[in-house]
Amino acid sequence: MAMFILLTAGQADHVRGPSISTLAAALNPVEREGGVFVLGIDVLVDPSHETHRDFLLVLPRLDGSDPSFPETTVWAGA
Amino acid sequence: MPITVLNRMRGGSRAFDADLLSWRDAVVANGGSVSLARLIIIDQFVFSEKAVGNWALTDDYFGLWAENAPQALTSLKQRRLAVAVNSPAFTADRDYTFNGTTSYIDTGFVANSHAVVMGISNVHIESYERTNISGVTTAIGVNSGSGRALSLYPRNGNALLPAPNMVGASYSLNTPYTSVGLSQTGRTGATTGDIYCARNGVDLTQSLSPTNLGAALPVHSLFVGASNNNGTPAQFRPASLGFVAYGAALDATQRQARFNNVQAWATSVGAQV
Repeated sequence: MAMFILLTAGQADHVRGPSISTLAAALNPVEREGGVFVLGIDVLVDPSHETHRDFLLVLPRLDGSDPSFPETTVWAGA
Repeated sequence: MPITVLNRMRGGSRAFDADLLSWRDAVVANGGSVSLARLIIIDQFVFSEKAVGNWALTDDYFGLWAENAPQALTSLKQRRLAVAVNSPAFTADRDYTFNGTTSYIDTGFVANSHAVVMGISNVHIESYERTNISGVTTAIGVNSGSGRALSLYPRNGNALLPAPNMVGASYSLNTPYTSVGLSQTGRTGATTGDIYCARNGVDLTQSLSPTNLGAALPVHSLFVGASNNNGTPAQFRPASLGFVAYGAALDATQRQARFNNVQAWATSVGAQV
């Protein structure tokens, strides 16, 4: 299962937005239950988001299959 | 390469399609490139689409099985630059793969304001999925509430769940159940009976009728690999998607022709399933 970076609302605000180096890339941490925001660790190796790498590298991570991984907050029926 | 040179290389046949060359220029402006070999392949797609009338009925196409990311994210008709959000994985000549939790593509297409041929009761959306995924998750979608949803769940168990600006419908998949291939849905009129759904150009059998009709088109942008739920990404699908398109409704002949054209493009780049 994939690993995810865990962020607070403030940390999510810090990284959210378009890439400064790549025209068609952006970060938008996804909110989960409990006010936790997540990003896949793939963003750490994406050159588009290099400016945020050092900031994201020191944040906690959790396996998506871990029972404590926060549930989704949004449901959209078809 | 100058257009005159490109067209000379076409020999005594027809010139490269002007819309295609405009798209090529947009890709370059967006930091990408298009090889001559790929230009020939997509020229054939555009020619075939125009020949059957599908081009005029379509608002836009994304060939995600592109040579590079800017090429994949530059739409073919409106030449809109989509945004890869949270690093979905791009594989050249194949697809974008989404992690099912955070990554998606924002097409930037807001049906309510950007649709040229799509109408409230005249809708078509489709997606080409390259791996078999089952779940109530969205390959392409937006939901602005009150039935204003454009979305496709290519497979949940034995069903395909479509929302062509109406919600609640379900269609039975043929066996063996799979999400792989080109899933299509559309709305052709003002009643819940005016809906179709197909896989690889072949119509499917409805198992549940729609329950709610959109009285306007969605006001949020269309996502790929997730649904844009009133501005918030949701229903993330861990899918590998090679192609999406949307526009006005296609009739059965046009749906089959679209599949043939898409499959020819996929086969030419090695992305067919």
